[in-house]
Amino acid sequence: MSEKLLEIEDLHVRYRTDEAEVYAVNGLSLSMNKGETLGLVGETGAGKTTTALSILKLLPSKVGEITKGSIKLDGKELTKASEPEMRRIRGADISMIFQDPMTSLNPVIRIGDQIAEVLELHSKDTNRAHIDKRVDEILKLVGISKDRKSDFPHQFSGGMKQRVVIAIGLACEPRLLLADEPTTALDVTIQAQVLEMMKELKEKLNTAMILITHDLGVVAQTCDRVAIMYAGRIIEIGAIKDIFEGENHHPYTVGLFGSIPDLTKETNRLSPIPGMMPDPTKKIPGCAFADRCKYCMDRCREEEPEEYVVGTHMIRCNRFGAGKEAEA
Amino acid sequence: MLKYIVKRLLILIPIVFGISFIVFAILSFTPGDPVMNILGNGADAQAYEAKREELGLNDPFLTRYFNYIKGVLTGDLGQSWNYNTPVSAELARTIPKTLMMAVLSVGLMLLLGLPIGIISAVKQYSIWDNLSTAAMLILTSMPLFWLGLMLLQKFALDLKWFPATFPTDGMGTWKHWVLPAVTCMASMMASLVRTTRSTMLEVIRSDYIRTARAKGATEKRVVMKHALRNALLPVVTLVGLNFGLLMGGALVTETVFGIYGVGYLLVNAVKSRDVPLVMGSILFVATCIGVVNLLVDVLYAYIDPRLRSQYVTPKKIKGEEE
Repeated sequence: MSEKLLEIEDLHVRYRTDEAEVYAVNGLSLSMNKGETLGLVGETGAGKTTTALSILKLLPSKVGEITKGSIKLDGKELTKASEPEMRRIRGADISMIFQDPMTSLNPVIRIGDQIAEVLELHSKDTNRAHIDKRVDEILKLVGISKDRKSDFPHQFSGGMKQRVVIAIGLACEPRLLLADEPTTALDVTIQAQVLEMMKELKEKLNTAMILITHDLGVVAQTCDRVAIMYAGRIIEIGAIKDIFEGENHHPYTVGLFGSIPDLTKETNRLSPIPGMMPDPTKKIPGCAFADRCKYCMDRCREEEPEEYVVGTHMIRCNRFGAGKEAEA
Repeated sequence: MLKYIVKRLLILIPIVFGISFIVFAILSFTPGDPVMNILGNGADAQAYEAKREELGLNDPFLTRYFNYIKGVLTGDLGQSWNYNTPVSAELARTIPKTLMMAVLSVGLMLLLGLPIGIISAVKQYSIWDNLSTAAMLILTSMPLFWLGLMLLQKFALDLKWFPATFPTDGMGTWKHWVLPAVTCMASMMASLVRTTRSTMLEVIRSDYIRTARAKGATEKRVVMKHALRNALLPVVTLVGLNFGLLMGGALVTETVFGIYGVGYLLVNAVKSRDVPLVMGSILFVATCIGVVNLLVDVLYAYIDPRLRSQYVTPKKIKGEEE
């Protein structure tokens, strides 16, 4: 077995509705090591959640579809896995924490039972007492008193609910945790607590994690590597150092950082990136960012820019490497 | 919860009295002479006056009402003016049939409607969904009496599977109940299927269903364990409403099949201005609807813990370890 836990190769995902076809993910490639934390950053509609749902094969049925590419977990191809096989993987090997803890718990089932369910579904030991004991342990892990396991979700605050959701996600000690904006719905102090707890737990359980967020501050605190997504592609990926301290960046990344308020600089306005994300119903032959890019060259519009790789840092932009030479 | 139920039952008392007062007033102040109805047009003045006195019609309205209520409170619902039988006996004769009809048709409706609604939602836009949508549309738009007549024609007269007439006395056998129950529940089932389908569709798209799928639950488990209970509230409302209405008698069905139930009794009593009989039936129907509504509310609380907390004093909140 290799050290690679997850390998995504040229993934294309399409949503098909009566009105239009939406190209949500277009040729995304990504690989992750065991125990690693990868931040997946990008604005709304960049295809972050779609990527995560594709890994679990939980795209909305009939509408969402993986049209091309491969997703391998520990060398096992997931795109070709059958539904029963996927069910064995979901919750056990890969689990997902959804964005909004207020709505991701079933309102009519006691939280203890909701945690127990994932254990019942996946563990060989179906002894009720053992499962109960395990539920107590997990609750303790996420900092909830075991007296509360017979309470219903509405009796918990938002932060506590997210802890329950995390408890469900980690109950079977998965190898990969997909956390889709786990702290967006929470207020800032609770955010910090939850993130700290997730970080500790993933180290304790040696779980790899993809943290989907649009909050670069969260990324800086928690991740080993960062991938920046734009219009269904990864346009820049690198170790945390490469992204936050490196010299060269994709123009979009520069814009993204420019949109964050900076306490040390005297400015009246933030500098947002001009323009909008391209229409996802159209296929784009070249660089998806071309229309908003002040460095845009003719060749950017014609073909997809090549990868420019230095060590752990990859930028998909013609301003660097081979692209730059060709232009010169 | 028990406190809540007792409170609701106590509230029911003034409601029932209010209804009885209004109905009594309507019966007293609307034109038409009950004595004429009883004695016929050719009655002489003396007999007429004697009958009025006997029925207490010469007393002022409020006196009559209080006399009636006094009777009710001592367990006497009075004598039917038309049949000269105790109202309680008439009710005892008709209520079992109405109850049977309500239980059978609501039961059948649930048995058929719930699964069809669930399948329609889970397999949205499939052939089954389309078929059920079309079938339910036909059922809702079909007049009840016509459906009843057609069923009688086919299954009673042509095929002779079921009897065409209902015995005047007694409850009949199960064979007597099949066609009436099917007729009675047809349009109710259609609305149940539509309601179940639409709420299921809503629930099945919610985040917690996605969570359940992400846990690796099978589709069957997702639907039966996670979705159904959340989709049940509107269904319970609908069932309660229909059951309550049916306690007032399924008049059309009763008429088509000749079942002498509460609806039949009530309509005949109103037609002949048989005040004690109308009042007795109304008291029964009002109480039933009140009790069924209470049951629905209790069921709500049982199904949805969020509603339960409204009725129960919250237990002491244990400290959150934050």
